[in-house]
Amino acid sequence: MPIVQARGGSVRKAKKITVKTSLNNPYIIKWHTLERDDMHFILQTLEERIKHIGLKKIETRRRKKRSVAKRQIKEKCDASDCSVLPKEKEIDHIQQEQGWTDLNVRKQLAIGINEVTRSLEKNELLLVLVCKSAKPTMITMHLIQLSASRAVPAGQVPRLSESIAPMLGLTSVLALGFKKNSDTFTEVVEAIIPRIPSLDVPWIHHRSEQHTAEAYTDPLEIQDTELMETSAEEFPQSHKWKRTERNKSDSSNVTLQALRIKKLVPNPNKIRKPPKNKKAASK
Amino acid sequence: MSAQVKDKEAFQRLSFLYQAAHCVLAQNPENQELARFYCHMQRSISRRLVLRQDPSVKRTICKFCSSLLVPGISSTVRQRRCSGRRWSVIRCLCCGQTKRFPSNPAYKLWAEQPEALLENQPQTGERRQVPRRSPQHIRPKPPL
Repeated sequence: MPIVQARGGSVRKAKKITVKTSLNNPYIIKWHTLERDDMHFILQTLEERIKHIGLKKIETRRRKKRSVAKRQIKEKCDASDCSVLPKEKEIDHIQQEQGWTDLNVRKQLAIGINEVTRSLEKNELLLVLVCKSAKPTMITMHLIQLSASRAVPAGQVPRLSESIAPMLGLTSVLALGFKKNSDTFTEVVEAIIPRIPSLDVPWIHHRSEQHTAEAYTDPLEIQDTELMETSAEEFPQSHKWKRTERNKSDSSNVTLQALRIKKLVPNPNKIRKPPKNKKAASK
Repeated sequence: MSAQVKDKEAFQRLSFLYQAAHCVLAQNPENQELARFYCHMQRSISRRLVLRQDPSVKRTICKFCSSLLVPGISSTVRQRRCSGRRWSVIRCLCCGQTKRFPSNPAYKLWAEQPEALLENQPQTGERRQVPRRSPQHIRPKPPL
């Protein structure tokens, strides 16, 4: 029906492209772009701090030459305790000290997306930094809502992975979190926090925002003040939420986001199943 | 196709229910049932009227129990490696159902590509070989 196929002689160019309307997400959840100065500042402070502490993970690459690993050990000139991480598949003849150089410092950081997610769920973090180079972007998008619900500042820094991963001796650092019990990183955290733009998730904290992107209707305003006030007062200290003081006093408006509709054109390169026999028989 | 959208009220209703479910969870994260009811309503409306929803909306609703999946509150999100590939695994805390999405950096949903939108519709031009995620209508046509 949509695109009529040319049959032999008569070529009908009735190209009706069916357009499908789909309900688009009313919330646009994305990271905020950080300013250049802020980005540089954050990266520099982090690098200085890490170099100062000398935190690094020494890991032997299984497939690479062993001389590389030997060189790493020789360059590291720290006498702190190193733990030997048991690697089951490792058949190394060389007895080297592998693992993190400083375990205490390592415990104050949450490195890696899974670890950051887990510690956010347990409310252990003070600050979250995410790398912008994550592809696909879906792997870090859940951190926005998660950290907004816990009221933890979170920022996306463009070159986090490129600068910090080699310093720590890792392949890539897509997410970095500073735990609440960290004493070595407290000044760094305090310096970075004011530089990070606050995340706005419209349905959390009920900040009234008008989204007019692709709006086909006018935004309706619904005042849920009564509901908000009563529920805010009686609300117990839940593990999952961090209630801020200002929520109780504000007459918070919950703005209904505008209806957003996407009009989609079917994919011409869509992989379709081969037609069954009855279709061929009817033609 | 007319400029007006058919079933606009239905879409508004869907959007409203979706936002209401979010607000319900924002106010009281323990009350999953109401959010589930709203999403269930949303799903039945779209099923009855055959309305299409964006993948970003459908990904946040559990397919099994139709509760709203909010990372940290009603779902856990992990990056896992399974059979050599890296997946994003979203697990609904209410029913335990998992959704898995492969983390392929080269892949982009057809709905997210700019050429899919009607406004940016070019007449010709190469399009990427991208399979559609959730085809609601499988048109019985031979491939072009």
